[in-house]
Amino acid sequence: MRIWSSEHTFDHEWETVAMAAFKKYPNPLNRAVTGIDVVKQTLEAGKILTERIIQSHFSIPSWATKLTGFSGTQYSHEYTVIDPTKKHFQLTTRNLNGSSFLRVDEKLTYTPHIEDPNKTVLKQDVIVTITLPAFADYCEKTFLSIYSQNASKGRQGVEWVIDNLKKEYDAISTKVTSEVHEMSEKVRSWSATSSNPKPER
Amino acid sequence: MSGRHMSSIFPECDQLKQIYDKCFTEFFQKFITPNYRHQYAVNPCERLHDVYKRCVEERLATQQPFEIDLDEIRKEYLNSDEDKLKERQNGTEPEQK
Repeated sequence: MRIWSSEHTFDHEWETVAMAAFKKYPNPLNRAVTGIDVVKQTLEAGKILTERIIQSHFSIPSWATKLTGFSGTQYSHEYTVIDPTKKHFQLTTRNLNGSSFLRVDEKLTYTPHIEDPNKTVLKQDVIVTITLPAFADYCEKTFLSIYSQNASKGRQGVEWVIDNLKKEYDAISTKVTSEVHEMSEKVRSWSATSSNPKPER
Repeated sequence: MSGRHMSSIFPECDQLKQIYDKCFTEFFQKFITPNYRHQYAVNPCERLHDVYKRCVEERLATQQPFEIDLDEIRKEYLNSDEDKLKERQNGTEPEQK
């Protein structure tokens, strides 16, 4: 068994990060995720509890598939608890394939930064346990080295979604602004023509 | 609110998922804000979820894409193992509060 932990600070407030983390997929940095299904989504005591099945696709060499029985399509179970009152977002994931020799437990929490409420801290822990007659320790080490590389991609993915959500909002607000502007221009020209025959003041 | 959509694992359920996701995302956006009355909230999209979930569960049962039973994982993982995970984490580093 091996544990890997890390911490990352986002320069955004908790609501923004929570929104993006919840709607993380699809994003161009994590293309391995090919399908998600929400098997449970309930509200309990002001919290949203969600269970999802995540399908990922990896390109695995065929010899590796033969050796481990692992195919390129993998499934995992994800459980999230979002508590907006406490501003706490917790996500736990476990692999659903290859469980006879591999167990990956991942836990992510998003909480506001203690000193700066405009920032959000992501804490990430993963526990990997490989049960193989030989090389288990080596495999665990290798797994975590790949995992840690992917972890940074995951954070970049969240950043990408934050940017994307912002643009989506900006697009709406600029549209509204331009409509308001257009409207006020019209009103101005109407009032100008009705009160004053000359369009210039 | 966005053109971004994560598709269902099963193409047959994708349309039902899109409808549900749209409904829930709208609700989620309001729910996440600090002034929302979180304690009294119910999932306004529950009926849409029931229909969509049935579609997914049927396919999970027939196609069996993984060997683990979800009820097993719920029992084990949401209680005991989750607590073990917490203990382990608290052992390695103090809880951030």
